[in-house]
Amino acid sequence: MPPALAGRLSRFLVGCYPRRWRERYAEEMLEVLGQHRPTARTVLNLWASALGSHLDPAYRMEGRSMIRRHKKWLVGAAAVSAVPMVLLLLVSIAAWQENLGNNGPPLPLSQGVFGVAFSPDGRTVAVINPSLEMWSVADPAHPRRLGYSKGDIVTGADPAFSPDGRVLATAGQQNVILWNVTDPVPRPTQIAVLSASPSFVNAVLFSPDGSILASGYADGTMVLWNTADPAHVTRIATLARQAGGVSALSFSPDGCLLASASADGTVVLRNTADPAHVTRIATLARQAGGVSALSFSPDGRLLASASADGTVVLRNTADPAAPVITATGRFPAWPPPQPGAGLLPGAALAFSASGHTLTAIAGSSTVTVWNVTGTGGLARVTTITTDSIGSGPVAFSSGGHAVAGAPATGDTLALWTLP
Amino acid sequence: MGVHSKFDGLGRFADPSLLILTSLADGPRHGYAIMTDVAAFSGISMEPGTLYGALSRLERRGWVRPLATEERRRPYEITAAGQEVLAEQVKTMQQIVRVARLRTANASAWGA
Repeated sequence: MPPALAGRLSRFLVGCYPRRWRERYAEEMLEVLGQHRPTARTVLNLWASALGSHLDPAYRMEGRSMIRRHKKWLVGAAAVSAVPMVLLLLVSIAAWQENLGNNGPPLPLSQGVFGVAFSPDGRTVAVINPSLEMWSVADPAHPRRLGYSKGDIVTGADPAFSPDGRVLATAGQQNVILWNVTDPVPRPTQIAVLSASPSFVNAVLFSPDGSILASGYADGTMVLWNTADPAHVTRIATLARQAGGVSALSFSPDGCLLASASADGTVVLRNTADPAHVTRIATLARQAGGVSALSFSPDGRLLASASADGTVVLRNTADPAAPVITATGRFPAWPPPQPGAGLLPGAALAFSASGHTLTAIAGSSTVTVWNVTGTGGLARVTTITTDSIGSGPVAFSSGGHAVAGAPATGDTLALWTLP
Repeated sequence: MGVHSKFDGLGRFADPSLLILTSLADGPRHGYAIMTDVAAFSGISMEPGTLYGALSRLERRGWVRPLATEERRRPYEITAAGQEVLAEQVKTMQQIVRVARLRTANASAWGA
């Protein structure tokens, strides 16, 4: 059974569980399925398990008469047994459904998309799906797969290119893998595996001169690596844990400041001028939702942070010890803001090369563009909505000219060039 | 991923609940982490359907407890009751292993 079909059937079967089950487990099961490589065995196993849950009294409605309960069971069993029929239907849909209508054909990917990044020159896209695939998007209308890695990376984080575009860092489950991507045909080659923390790698980022790689972990640890020679990487420093786990990173253009965001809504600024002696400069006031994307402006004077409540906050960091909020903007965020911490599954921010515009996308199919005034004000220019990008991973090319994004459970990646 | 051997077939003897409790014994893990951990320490690849079927039963018995979701992944934690059950299970299994060892050793001694 092709993996794409197995994935589709698996996700469909999750919808066949009783309602009470779905309310409790569907979201995390879909997440697990996204990480798992589904096979025919997965589909069969889910089918049996869904059927079993319909027979489980705990997931039938309470306080109903026997006949009604019986009826409920029959309906449930019939729904699950309809699978073989629906299977046929899905096969035909899978064969037919291809295009989502964008300004470049979507990249057909065998599995869901876990992470995505543009090379610094914007001509290549790295996709984790969950192996590493390298695509040439030099001609956005005709994307071309250059090569892919053997073995899966299995991660929910975006990879990061070195500034010269020669090395790619991917966030594995508990380690960072460095790849030589100078010639990804037919495969990018693995240079090094960096292990530092037992927890998930949530974010990786190279410093602007490429000499440092920062990795942020789900347990809040952050590690700086000396990547001056990617073949001989050494650990420079392990930084104090940040509550809530590291969710996003940004270096200032001069590499002297490192901003790290957390799911609890805080952003920490550190002085990285001497990477061996990093000091914490400031912890910025908490945003209502988890901070999912961060970006310094090209002149390093502004820091933008996007949080899960659909807010982008712009701060003047000219004095990093006392950053001042200069503006806040709203953008459509999905899922809708909920009380408590949380992160947007797919969020990205990009300043234009001139620093005059800021573009944001966060867990939805809408890209929002603002003008940035000289004093750090925000004026919304436009919003662009595209159905082919959903709540899945998303990335801007440097300068924000192009966006690559995927629907949450889709197996395609859409490319858009922004006006 | 994981250690697969010619004894993969033994998976049917392994109770998913026991594997999950063992996986959670040294700290909370979310669904996919449980699957990879179980595969790593036992060589048994558990499918998501089996995993969540067992997790829901364990949760209802109060042997595991769901924690707050982190980025759509929900970690699970073993409860004090779960630890007790696991310890008891391990004791029983040790007894079985002891007897099995003794008897297979005797059998081969007689065979020789």
